[in-house]
Amino acid sequence: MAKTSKLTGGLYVTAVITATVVIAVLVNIIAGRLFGRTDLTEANLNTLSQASRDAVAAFDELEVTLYISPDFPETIRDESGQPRVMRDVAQAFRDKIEEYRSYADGKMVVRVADGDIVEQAKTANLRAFSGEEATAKDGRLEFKQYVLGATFHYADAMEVFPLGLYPEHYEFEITRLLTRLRDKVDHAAEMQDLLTAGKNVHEAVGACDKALVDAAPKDDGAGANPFGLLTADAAEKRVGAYQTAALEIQKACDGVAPTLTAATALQGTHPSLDSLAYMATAFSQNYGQFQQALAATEAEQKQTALQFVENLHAIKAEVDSEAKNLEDSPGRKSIGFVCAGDAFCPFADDSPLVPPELAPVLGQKNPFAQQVVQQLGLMQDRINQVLGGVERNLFKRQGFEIAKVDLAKPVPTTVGGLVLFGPKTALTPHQLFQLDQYVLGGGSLVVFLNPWDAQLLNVTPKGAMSVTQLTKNTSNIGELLATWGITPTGALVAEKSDHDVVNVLSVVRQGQLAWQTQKQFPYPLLPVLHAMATESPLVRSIASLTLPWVEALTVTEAPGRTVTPLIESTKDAITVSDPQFPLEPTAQLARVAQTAGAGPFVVAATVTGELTSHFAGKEAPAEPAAEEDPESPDAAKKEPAVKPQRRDKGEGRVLVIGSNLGLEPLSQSTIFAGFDLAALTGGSFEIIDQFQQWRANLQNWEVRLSQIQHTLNDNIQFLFNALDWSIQQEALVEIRSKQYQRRPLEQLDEGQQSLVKVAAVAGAPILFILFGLLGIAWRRRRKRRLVATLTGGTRA
Amino acid sequence: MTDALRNVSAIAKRELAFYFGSPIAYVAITVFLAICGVYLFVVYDFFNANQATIRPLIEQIPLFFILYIPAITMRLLSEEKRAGTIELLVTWPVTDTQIIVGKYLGALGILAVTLLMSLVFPLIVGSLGELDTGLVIGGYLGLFLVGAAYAAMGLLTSTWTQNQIIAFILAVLLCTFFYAIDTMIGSVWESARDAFAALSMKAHFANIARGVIDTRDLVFYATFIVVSLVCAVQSLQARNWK
Repeated sequence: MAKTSKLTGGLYVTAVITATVVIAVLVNIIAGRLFGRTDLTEANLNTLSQASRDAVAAFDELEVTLYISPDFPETIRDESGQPRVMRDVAQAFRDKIEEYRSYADGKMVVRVADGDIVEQAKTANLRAFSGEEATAKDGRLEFKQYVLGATFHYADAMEVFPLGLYPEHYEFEITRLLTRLRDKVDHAAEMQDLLTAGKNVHEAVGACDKALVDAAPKDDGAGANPFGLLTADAAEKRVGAYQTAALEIQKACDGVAPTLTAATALQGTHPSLDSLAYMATAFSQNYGQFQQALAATEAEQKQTALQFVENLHAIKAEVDSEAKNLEDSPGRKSIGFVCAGDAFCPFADDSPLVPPELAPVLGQKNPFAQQVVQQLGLMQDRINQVLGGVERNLFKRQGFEIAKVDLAKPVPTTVGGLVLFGPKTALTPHQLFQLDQYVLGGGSLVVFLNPWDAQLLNVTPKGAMSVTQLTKNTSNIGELLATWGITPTGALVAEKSDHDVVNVLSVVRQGQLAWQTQKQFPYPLLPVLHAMATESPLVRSIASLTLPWVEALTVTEAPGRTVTPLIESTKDAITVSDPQFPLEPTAQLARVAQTAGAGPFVVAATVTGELTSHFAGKEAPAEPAAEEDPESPDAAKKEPAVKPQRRDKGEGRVLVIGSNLGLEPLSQSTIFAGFDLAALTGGSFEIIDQFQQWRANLQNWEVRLSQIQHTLNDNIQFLFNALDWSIQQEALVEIRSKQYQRRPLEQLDEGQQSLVKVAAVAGAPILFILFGLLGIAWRRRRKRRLVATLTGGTRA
Repeated sequence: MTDALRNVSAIAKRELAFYFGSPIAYVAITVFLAICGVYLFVVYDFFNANQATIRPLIEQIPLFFILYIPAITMRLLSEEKRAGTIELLVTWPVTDTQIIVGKYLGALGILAVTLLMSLVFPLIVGSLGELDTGLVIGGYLGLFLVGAAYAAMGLLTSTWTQNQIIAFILAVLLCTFFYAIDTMIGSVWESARDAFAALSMKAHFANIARGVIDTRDLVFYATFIVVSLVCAVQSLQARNWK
């Protein structure tokens, strides 16, 4: 072959490689502009769903402002401590917004904020976050702040996406905000009077507060003092300044009273306006006291005016918050948790069991009482901590607005759906009537049943562990549900082979040492359910669920209503209604194995359409006597509320799930059952026995949860779907489902797991080696035959 | 079949026959499968995670490939150069381009068999739960593309030297560089990170691993492979320089 000179060759190679690289870059640039993508995942996890496309297409002029810090660090740890590559996260955010824009038919304008982005974002109510980069300033470490979020503007309304650290939630969050923004604008017209009244009150209070701020001297040292304290001279000077500006202040503050009168005239029409009016009334009263103090002749009395000014500033902040709440309220629907019948109610109760002023007195009468009171306080803190955590982390963080509903009163109009979570005891006839009427009025009701009190291990008041029996709860919600075609049978479902494990605390002894450990046992009363109604968005994307202590339901069709079984057990399942049924895992497995399968059983169902009242043809149950607050200034003049029209039929929707997902009620009334303040004052030692029982109650709640806590993760998507369904946000159900795609594994015991591990780690490679050895042997054999053929069979 | 295709096919078959006629391929693939199995079932703790997915393994395999693919490609041309058989090869009526493409297809054959054998993991996982097959298909397509890009780089380094070990080390360095170019350059030159992300195998693989097939990623891998192979051809031709 002809040789080329190095120079010529080098030049040729450089030219070819340069030309190839340039062409490659150009091809990539063109491909970057003309691209297509396809999502191979089964649930189209990476593609906007139809609901999201519809949500953005519903706007005729949507403006989005992106707040994205330009200088993100490489990674940020999210709330679970996992590092997030910020470049990818920010890119995913931009891509997602771009995807929405592509479906907006040119009606969505995207603006990217520049300049001091963090400050702008904070003003727009976005949440800034910090990484690990910090600088020392005035002897303190100041962490650098970043923002990643957006605001969505339509008409005069705005919604904020405060922090976008989780790309897997983007679609759900953005679609939810768009739906909310649209609802807010659509409903604002219906509430125009209320919104105007609220706005007027807010502006009047703001003007009054501003007049006070303007009147105060700016150089009296209050700002420099960390506690805002004034010297006597400065205080006198400030009072003097208020006196000098009294006319201006009065002029500005005179506007509060008429706006308040207008708002009070609308009292009872909207809770947010009521709250705003309440705070504004407090502002007005404080202002009156401020004026009186200022007009006083005694110097000491004049000084109290300053305290009233402080109060006025504080109340103004509350008024701001209530005004924002009212402004956001059009179309807002919360989920009402019915806190009755010993149902699970995720709200902390801050009222102390023992009034703090009584604690020292109790100690004088009973030496143990003070200690008991102290321990009760700690237990109450623990209960509130758990409930507060559930409220925050399980519901609010997921975007659910939840409210406590007291069935003694009519359900507020702001409640979009009701949830009754595992009632253990009977509701009063009036409470059942309220639920009945709420559903017939077009409302949604989600009921999680809790038919049996079942606990594998029970902590006794003396601290020992004992196996208990099944005990029937006394809830009567089934009577109401049966009227609508879903009847709880009262029998628990046990799966013979497809069941989860229960975590059991056991004591391990080795010689003198003993320690506690968690052990897992297969447990038929924790059935794993796979048969889902694929036509329902509630369960369509759920592969399986573990419903602890789940009750079988029977469903009955009737003209006008549609009853849909959502989840069913296998044919192998059996039902249990014998209180003697063993709860101990081994005995339970043995008992279940002896019983013939009688399934499938329906364990969750919905009913929609025209429903008949449970109380049709009967007299409405009597309302409970209203509890009057004698100290309330308007208690005496309150007129009876207008009774809503009674319905015997109506369109409604009900979802019934045969399990409470393992969330047993946790409240003061369930844990401190039988608490009587008088017993503490009585000097009796029985209080110690009672205290031990209360302590055991709380421990048992925790033990129960720990036994089935692992199943909660698998059920969380279903819980969220049910809550979305309750506020009629079916479109969001499917989008949310994308975030929680769970594909749980078949339950294997430790031996089976080890077998699979060995098969995967060693089996596959060994098989491949064997395959190779066989191949080599076969080739050698063929070679020998070939040689033999060529040599005429002379070699053996 | 044209002569060019016949030549390419003959060279590719010769490579595959060499690998599978000796214990090299069996040992390499066996070790690779064992490492994957250990990662998925021991390091990642698959049963504890309780999810029927092999995405964690798919996301990790490009890292395993950084050592595995160069080990396959290191001998492709360096061994021919060392043993002098390259001169014998060029006495055939084949062009340098046909040699490079033939050798490259041979390496892709090994890659394909490796990935085929690793399907045992999705099969095991699929038998224990409901696997998202779309995600598996996307993941395997991504792995094939990453592996093919590594093989092209491995082939390129193999043309540079007679020493297999040096070819291996150079290929490992190149693969590592292009796998995480954005992170490496970004750590010293923050503002250039985004620009270099366009050249990063990792960034382009991330999309495919989550089941999104984007033509931009496909074009990136295709052009990357073409550029590497063109460079390899030019490098092979350099032996004719005086």
